Amino acid sequence: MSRREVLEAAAGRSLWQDAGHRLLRNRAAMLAVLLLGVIVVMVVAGPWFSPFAYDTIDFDGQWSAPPSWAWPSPFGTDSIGRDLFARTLHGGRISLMVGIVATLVSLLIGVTWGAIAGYAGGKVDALMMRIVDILYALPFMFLVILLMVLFGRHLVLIFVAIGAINWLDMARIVRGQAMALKQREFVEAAVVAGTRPGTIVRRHIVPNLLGVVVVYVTLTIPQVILVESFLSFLGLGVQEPATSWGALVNDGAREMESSPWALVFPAGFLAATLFCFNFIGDGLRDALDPKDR
Amino acid sequence: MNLGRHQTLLLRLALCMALCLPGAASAEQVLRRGNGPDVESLDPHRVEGVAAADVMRDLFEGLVSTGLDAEPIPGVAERWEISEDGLHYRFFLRHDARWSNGDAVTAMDFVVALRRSVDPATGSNYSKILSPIRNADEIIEGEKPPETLAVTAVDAHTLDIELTGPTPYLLGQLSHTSAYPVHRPSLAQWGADFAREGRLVSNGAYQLKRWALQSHIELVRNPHYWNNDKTRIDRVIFYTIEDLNAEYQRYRAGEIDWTTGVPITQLPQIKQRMPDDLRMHPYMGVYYYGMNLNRPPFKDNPKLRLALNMAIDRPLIAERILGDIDQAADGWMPPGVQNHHYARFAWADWPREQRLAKARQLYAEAGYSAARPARVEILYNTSDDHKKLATVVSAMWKQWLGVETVLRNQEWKVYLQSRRLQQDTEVFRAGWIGDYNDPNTFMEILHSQHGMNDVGYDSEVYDRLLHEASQESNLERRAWLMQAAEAQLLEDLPIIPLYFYNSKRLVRPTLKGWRGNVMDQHRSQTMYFDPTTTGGAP
Amino acid sequence: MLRFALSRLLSAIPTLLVLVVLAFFMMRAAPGGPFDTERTLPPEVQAQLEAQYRLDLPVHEQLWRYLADAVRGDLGPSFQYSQFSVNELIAQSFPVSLQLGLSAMLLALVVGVAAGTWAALRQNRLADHAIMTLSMTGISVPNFVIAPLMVLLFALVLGWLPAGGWNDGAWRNRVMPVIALALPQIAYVARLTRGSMIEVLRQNFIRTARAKGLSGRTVVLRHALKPALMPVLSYLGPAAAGIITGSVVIEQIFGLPGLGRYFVQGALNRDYTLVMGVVLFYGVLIIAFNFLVDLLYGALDPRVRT
Repeated sequence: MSRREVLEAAAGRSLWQDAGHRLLRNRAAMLAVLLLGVIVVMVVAGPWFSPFAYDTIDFDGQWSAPPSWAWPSPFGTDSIGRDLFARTLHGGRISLMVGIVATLVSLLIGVTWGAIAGYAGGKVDALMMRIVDILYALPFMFLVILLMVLFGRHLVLIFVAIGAINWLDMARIVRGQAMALKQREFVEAAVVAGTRPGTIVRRHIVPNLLGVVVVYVTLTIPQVILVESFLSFLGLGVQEPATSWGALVNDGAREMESSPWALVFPAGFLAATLFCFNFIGDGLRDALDPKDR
Repeated sequence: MNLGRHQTLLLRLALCMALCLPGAASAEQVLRRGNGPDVESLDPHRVEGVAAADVMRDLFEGLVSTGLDAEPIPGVAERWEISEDGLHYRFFLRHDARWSNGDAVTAMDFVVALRRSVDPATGSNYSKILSPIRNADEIIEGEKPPETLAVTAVDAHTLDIELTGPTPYLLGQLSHTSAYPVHRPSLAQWGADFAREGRLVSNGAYQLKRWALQSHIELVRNPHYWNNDKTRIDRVIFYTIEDLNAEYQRYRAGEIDWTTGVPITQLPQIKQRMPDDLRMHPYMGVYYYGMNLNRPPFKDNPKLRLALNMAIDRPLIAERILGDIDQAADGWMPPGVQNHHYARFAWADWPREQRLAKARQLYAEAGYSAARPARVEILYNTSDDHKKLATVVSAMWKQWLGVETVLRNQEWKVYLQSRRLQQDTEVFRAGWIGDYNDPNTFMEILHSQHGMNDVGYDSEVYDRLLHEASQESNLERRAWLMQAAEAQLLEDLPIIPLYFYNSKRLVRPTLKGWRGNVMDQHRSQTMYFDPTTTGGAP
Repeated sequence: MLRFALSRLLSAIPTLLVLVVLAFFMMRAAPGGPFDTERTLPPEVQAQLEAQYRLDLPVHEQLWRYLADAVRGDLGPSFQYSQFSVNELIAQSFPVSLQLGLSAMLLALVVGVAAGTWAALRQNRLADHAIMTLSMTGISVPNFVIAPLMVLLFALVLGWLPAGGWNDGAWRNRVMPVIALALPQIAYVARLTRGSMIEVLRQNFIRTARAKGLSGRTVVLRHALKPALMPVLSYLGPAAAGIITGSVVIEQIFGLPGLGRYFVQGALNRDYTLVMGVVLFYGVLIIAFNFLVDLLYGALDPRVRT
């Protein structure tokens, strides 16, 4: 850690510029950025171009229709005659939203918790980390199932449930970083200058955690998307007729023999997105922490 | 020895014939049944659900048993006498009925069992099955002690049962698990925990050998069973397999010989690849949506209720979603119910456009329009099939009538509570499978005082008709009363019947002695494998 | 050492207490009760059942008695399986989950470390890219897609393995569940190993070893592997959690009589005692496991002695 700190202290702002350069040179990561960009554009803008709504059933058309090259139904229809292209894009909106919002929730709680614990230290730190340990021992599944059962299945709840579980890791990482930062000259200087602890955490500790946080965020989003798909498997996902990639993949897996396209397209989008996030996350980590490679 | 190809084949053939010859020392016959959800109890008076009942039918035998068409046939009682007024039954027990440990099955075993079954302390979920017996209801309500139940042992092999009113379906009730006997010494020794591996003594064709929770239950022959000579299957294994897709895969892999159902999405493939394995039969049950009559929009709004009923294309649902197996509902009572005259929707056979035109007209008359649409929520319990159906029905209402629909999914226990409270439900999914073959089992659940009347239906006419039917000992007149009640129900429409169930299974074509029936009840002892049968291999 | 163990043991008590109390109140706050069924129970029957399970007592009394029993190791009777105690259910199902989990963990470690090391040695070459892409697939494709695909291939097309069931633990029935369970973990372990191996290989003592003329294999096995495994070791905790979660899916798909399935069913059926029992059991398990990992860590890396 120490070498990096020296580096950072010496480099100052140019560290981020260096990282940017290194990232740009990472071909896998740049390809991932590009692909993710395409997916995001499709998911956000696509539904406006598709002539079908994600929840409209074509009662007179073919159900479970195979994909055809003829626009406008390139992905075919699902088992109850809804356009799979429209549904895949709609599902992408939900999956990405769940991924991003839930990660932000865990980020907010985790960074606050970890930064305070790490900076305060002593008894406060011990108590706060004790709580994290207790929550770690709580079987995750149990919490989510019970939350879903208790409050019904709102989208918001899925965000909160997943976010509330993921913040534990974040809190631990941030605490470690904060403890290290606390020893640094500029923080000590601020303390000497009589700055209030809250301000120090906000102005000096948190901004310096940015590198770790960015990497963490890109690696957490795919995890959260995966957790959502897992909930869909247990029948606890989003409510029909809305859908997510996880829900689509789960439905598709049940009929993979009779209509494989219902699995292939959503699964392709899901896997590609997770791939991209993971590659970008790796790329960012390498870029920000050059000694790894 | 260097045999040619043909010689080997001939040898094998000869060997096979020797093995398959009737009477010859044949190989052990093992039946491996897919059995759906896990069996949670093997205590006849605590069991719940179809999966457990199927195991119990092989383990136990009541006074009355069921035949291949699920009709009542002599069980432990070889014959019975019924009094003129239909209130007194006398059962004559066969003298060779034995428990699996060799003890004789006596009338006293049934007296003790029936008392235990209605005793609230037992915690039976099905004690109401026995409520036709005099004093049963009072005992269940805790007002009288179990000893007052009007079941008496005249001697070791004669049993008298006295009823409160004429009950044409009593014999069917007596074949239910709630009326199975218990082995008194086991009960005395183990108490409520007698139904465990290594303890359970049963009186049916099979006895319990192994009970691996969440995995399988293995039964072997009961050598003391009175009809053991006629029993061909030596071992029966019931596998816990909840997911229909998983079950289908295991059937195809040759790991089980029959399934509890068929994944609908695989039907085209099944019909093409193994048509001989697919067995379908009408099953006495109705799948319906209930409408909460206690609150808007359905309270005092018969036109909306009718409009929603008419705007559902049931034949399309039956064809597209149910794989053309289940039958579109055209009334309340499923086909195959004895002692009933059917009432039906007048508009059941109208073409779609005609129905929709009428539905739109009713919808408008009820005061709704595109500017002021009805808002309806459909509640269903978590399941892929319910989800699919609710999605399609809501799209029909939305796209054809302009109703604003919302779907809500709750898991089973929550859904049950919502249904029961009748506070925030609007439309809720439900299904009912007859407990016995009589219209009463379908009609009584909508009686204003019945515990399962979750729609809040309260019709004096309907209640009165049911009461009159319960007092009627003439079966024909009773059937007409039931029809009048059904007609009243279809007029008031607190429900949206969607389809009538069909049982659908995959069964190995080599398995004989299996026949579909309206109760979908099958006893392994009637079956056997005939390996000479060809065709239908997966 | 002894003090460390003792303090960990003591600090586990409040954790478990919180866990049980939380589970207790969450279960009871959940709508729907254990005796709710489609047909309404006669009130007297309901009352008798509630008395049998102590549900007629005031809530604090119920909790107190539960805790008192739990301390003595008695987790009470199951609601759903009325003739079985929760202890019996756990005793029957845990060995299944444990065998699955351990096999999967072992497989993940062996394959993951081997693949990761190999990728590190071939850094930025074809093998490296192939392994990393494969492992990324393991992370990116959900279990419930891979498992049915495996069934399709190995059970139905090739007919090598049974499509499901436990069959009292026959090895053929274990192969697919273990692989399906291990796949995502293999991927994580491989990525971790690769990263730390690359780092270790750059360090001075490895360069020294190489300079001494030791063969590549000796350097890796004798010197580099142990320090490179440290991050993998600290990943064991999360891996165990991941395997527990994954086993819920896998047990469901393959129809295995493990603990995860009981847990989900217990929660859905409002089997209060079963759910609390399983949660408590898992809690103890996770704490014990983390303790073990810490011990191991301490043994391998003398710097972290606490």
